[in-house]
Amino acid sequence: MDLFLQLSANGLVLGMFYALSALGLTLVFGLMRVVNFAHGELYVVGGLIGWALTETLGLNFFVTLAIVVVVLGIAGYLIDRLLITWVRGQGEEPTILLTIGLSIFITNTALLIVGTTPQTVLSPFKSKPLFLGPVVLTQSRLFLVAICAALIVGAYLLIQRTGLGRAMRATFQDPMAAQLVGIRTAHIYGFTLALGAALAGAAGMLLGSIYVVQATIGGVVSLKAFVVVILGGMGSFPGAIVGGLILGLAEALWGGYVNTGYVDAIGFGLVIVMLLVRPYGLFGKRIERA
Amino acid sequence: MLEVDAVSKQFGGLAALSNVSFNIQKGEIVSLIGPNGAGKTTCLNVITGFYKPTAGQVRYLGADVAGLAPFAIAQRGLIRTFQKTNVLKGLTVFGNVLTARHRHGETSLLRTVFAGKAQRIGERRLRDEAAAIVETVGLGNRMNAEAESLSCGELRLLEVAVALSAGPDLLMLDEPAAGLNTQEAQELGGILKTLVGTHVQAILLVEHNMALVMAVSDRIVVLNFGQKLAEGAPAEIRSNPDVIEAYLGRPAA
Amino acid sequence: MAFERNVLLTALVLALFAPLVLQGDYAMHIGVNIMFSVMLATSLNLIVGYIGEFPLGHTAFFGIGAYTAALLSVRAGLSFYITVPAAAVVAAVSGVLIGAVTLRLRGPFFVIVTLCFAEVLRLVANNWVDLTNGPMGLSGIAKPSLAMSGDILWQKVTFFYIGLLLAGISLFVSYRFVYSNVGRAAIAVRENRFVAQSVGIWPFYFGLVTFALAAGIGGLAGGFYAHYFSYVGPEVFGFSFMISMIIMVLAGGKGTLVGPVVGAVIVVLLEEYLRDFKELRFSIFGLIVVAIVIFLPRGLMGFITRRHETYKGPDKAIPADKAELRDA
Repeated sequence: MDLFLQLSANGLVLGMFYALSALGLTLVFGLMRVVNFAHGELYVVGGLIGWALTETLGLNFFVTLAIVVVVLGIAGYLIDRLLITWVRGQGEEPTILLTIGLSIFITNTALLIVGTTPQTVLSPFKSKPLFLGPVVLTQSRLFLVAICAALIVGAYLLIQRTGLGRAMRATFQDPMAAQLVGIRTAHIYGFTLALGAALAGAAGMLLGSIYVVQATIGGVVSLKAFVVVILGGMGSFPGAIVGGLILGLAEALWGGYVNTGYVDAIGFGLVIVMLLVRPYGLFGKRIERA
Repeated sequence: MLEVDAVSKQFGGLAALSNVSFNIQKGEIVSLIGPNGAGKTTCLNVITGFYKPTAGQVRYLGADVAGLAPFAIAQRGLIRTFQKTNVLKGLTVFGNVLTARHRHGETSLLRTVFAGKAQRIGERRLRDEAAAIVETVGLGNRMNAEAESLSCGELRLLEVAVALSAGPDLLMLDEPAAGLNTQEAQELGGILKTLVGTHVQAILLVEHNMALVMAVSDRIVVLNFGQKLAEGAPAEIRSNPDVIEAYLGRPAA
Repeated sequence: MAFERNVLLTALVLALFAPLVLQGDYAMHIGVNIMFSVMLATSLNLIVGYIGEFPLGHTAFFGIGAYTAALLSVRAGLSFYITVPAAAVVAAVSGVLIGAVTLRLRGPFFVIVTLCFAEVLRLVANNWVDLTNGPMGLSGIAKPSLAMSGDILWQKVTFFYIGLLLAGISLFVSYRFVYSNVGRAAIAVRENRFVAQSVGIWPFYFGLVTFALAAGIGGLAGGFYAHYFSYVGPEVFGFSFMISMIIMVLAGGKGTLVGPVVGAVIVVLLEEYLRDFKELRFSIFGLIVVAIVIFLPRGLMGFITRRHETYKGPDKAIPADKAELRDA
C-alpha cells in the first residue's frame, strides 16, 4: 500500500509537470486550430535559455523564468506573424508540415549551438526530502508543482478574465465577426501562439531544474504533450490538466509495478485506445469522425 | 421502388422530420418541395444514409436500407447530389465523371496490378461511357476543363453527370437548379425528362424552383416544419390552400 | 498519365546505363541510396498524395520490413530472395492492421497515432532483447549470393541493379494503382468524401488498400536496406529517415509518381553533399520544409497533378491489342 501511495504521489507530481507542458499545445489548438508540432522544441529552447542564464551567467531563478517567458513569447508571436500566417487559410495539413519543418530546424540548430550534453537549470530549491505520511517528496518538486499550478491559474485568468483573453476567444469563435468589432485578429493569433510558446518555454525551464535540458528531447516532449492533449481533449484547458495527471499516474504505476523499459509505451497505448474509443478526448468537444 | 415509411428525425429537441411517408414508383419524377427549413434535405440525407432516422423505415426495392452507410446505399443504385455543389475539385470534368463510374469498374487491387487485356478493354469501355455521359448533360465542350474553372451552372450539370455516371436506378437531386437562370433551368428540366426510362428508372427532385418542379414532376410531395403537408399532381398542389399558406402566409384578416 | 509514364521510363533507361557512365563504388553507393530512397518516397507519397493524410510514423513499415528481413536472415538463415518479399508481405499485412486503427482518424490525430505506433515499435525493438538484440541490433545479415562474388565494385553494382529492379517494381505497381479504378476511388476519397460515398465508394476500404500498398513498398525498401547495410537497429524506426522521406515527397511533389523520384534524387545528393555536417544538414532540411510549405506546396513536379484525366475521343473498333497505343 505504501508503494502504491508513493507511486501515486510521484505520478501526480509528474502529472502536474505534464499538464503544464501540454497546456500551451492545447491552448494554441483550442484558440487557433493550429497543431504546433514544434511545441517540444520551444520547451527545449526555454530550458536551454534557462540553463544558459542561471548556470553560465548566474542569474536569479525567477528573473530567468520571467526572461524565458518573455523571450519565448516574442518567439511565438514572430513564428505566427512571419510563418504561420502564410498558410493560415489552407487547412490543417500545411500548418502541420510547417511546424514539423520548424521543429526539425530548431532541434538541429540547437544541437549545433550547444551540442548533445545534457544540462540542468540551477534551482534555488533544495532537494531536501519532505515526509508526508508514508510518502516522500523532495522540496524542490513540491515548489515546482506550486509554480506550475500558479502558471496554470495565471493562464486561465488571462484567457477568461482579461480583455486580451476575450479577444482570443472571440477570434476563435468567428474571425470575421471579431474583425468587424475591431479586434485585430492578426495580432491576436500572434499573441495566442506567444502564450503557447511562453508556457512551453516556462515548462522547459522549470522541469529543466529537476530533469535535464537537452537539445534532442524536443520530440519526446512533443509526443508526451500530444498524449496528454489527446487524452484530455484537444483544446480543453481542464483536459490538459486531467490528461496530464492521468499520464503521470499511469507512467508512475506502470513503471513501478510492471516494467521500466516500456514506460513510455503506456502513454502510446492509452492514446491508441482513446483515439479508438473517444477520439475527442475526455473533455473535448469536436468529433473527428471517420 | 422507394418507400419512406413514417420517418422521423430528431436533432436533440428539434424534430426535423415527423412521421413523413411517401413512395416513388418506377418511371416517375417526384418532387419534394417546401419552404426553407421544411426538412427536405434532411429527408434526403435520411434516405441516402447520411443520417439515421430516429423512427420509421426506409425501404428500397423491398429491402430496409435505413441506417446503412451512404456508400452501401449508393451501391444499391440510389445516387444523390448535394445542395452545396460537391464535385472533385482537383480533377477535370472528364476525370470527375470517370471516377464516378467506379461501380462499373475493377475494384480489386490484385487484378489492377496484374491487369491484362480484359482489364484494359474494360477501362477503355469505362472511359467511353463516361465521355458519353458528359455529352448527355451538355458539357461535351468542357470535357477536359478543370472542374475549378466551371461556371456555377456548368458545375450543377457536372454534378448531375457525376450522379448519372454512377449508374443510378433512382436518382436524387438536391436543388439542382439553384443558381441557374431561367433558360438553364429549362434545359435541365428537358434533360431530366429524357433521363427517365433511358438512364434512370425514377427521379426524386428536391427543389425550390417552382417552374422546374411544375414542368417535370409527375407527383409532388410538400413538406412543412418536418411534416408532410400535401401530396398530389402538380395541378392539385398548385391550388392547394395549405400549400399556398405555407409559402405565402394567409392574407391579413 | 502518358507524361508520367514516359518520364519514368526515361529515368529507368538512364538508370540502366548509369553504372557504365558513373564509375566507382562511391557512385554506386549513391545509386543504391537513390534506389532505396525512391522506394521510401513512393511509399510515403501514396499515403500523403493519394489518401491525403500525413503519417508521421511511416518509418514503422520501413522498420518492420527491415527487421523482418534481418530476423529471417540472421535467425532462420533464409536467403535474400525469400526475406525481401517476406519483408514486403509482412509490412503490407501490418499496414492493414495499423491502417484499420489509424484510418478512422483524420488530420493531426492521424499524424499522432501513426507516430505512436512507430514509437511503440521502436521501444519494442529496443527492449525485446531476446528477439532483436535491443540497441545492439542485428548484424551480419547475409548479402545475396549474386553479390558475394567479385570485388566491392561488383557488389555495389549488383546491389544497384537489384535496387533498380525493386524500385521499378514499386513504381510499376504504384502506376497501375494510381491510373485505375481503384486509384481513382482513393483520389475521390481524398478530394471529397461526400462525393465518393454518394457514388458508392467505401472510403475506409480504399484508404486501407492504399495504406497496405504503401506499407508493402516501405517494407520492401526495408528488406533491401537490411541486406545492403548488413545491420538493422532500432533507429530504423527513428526520425531521421522520416525527415528524409518528408523532404523527398514535399520537394518532388506529392500526389504524383514522378515527384518522389525527383525528390529522392535531390535529397540523396543533398545529403551526400552535406555528409560531414549532420546537424547543419538537418537544420537546412527543416528550413527547406518550411520554405516548400509556404512557397512551393505542390513541389517541383506539382504541375503534373493539374494534368488530370483527359479524353481524346473514342476508339472505333480498334483491335484490343492496339488499344493501349491510343491511350489518352
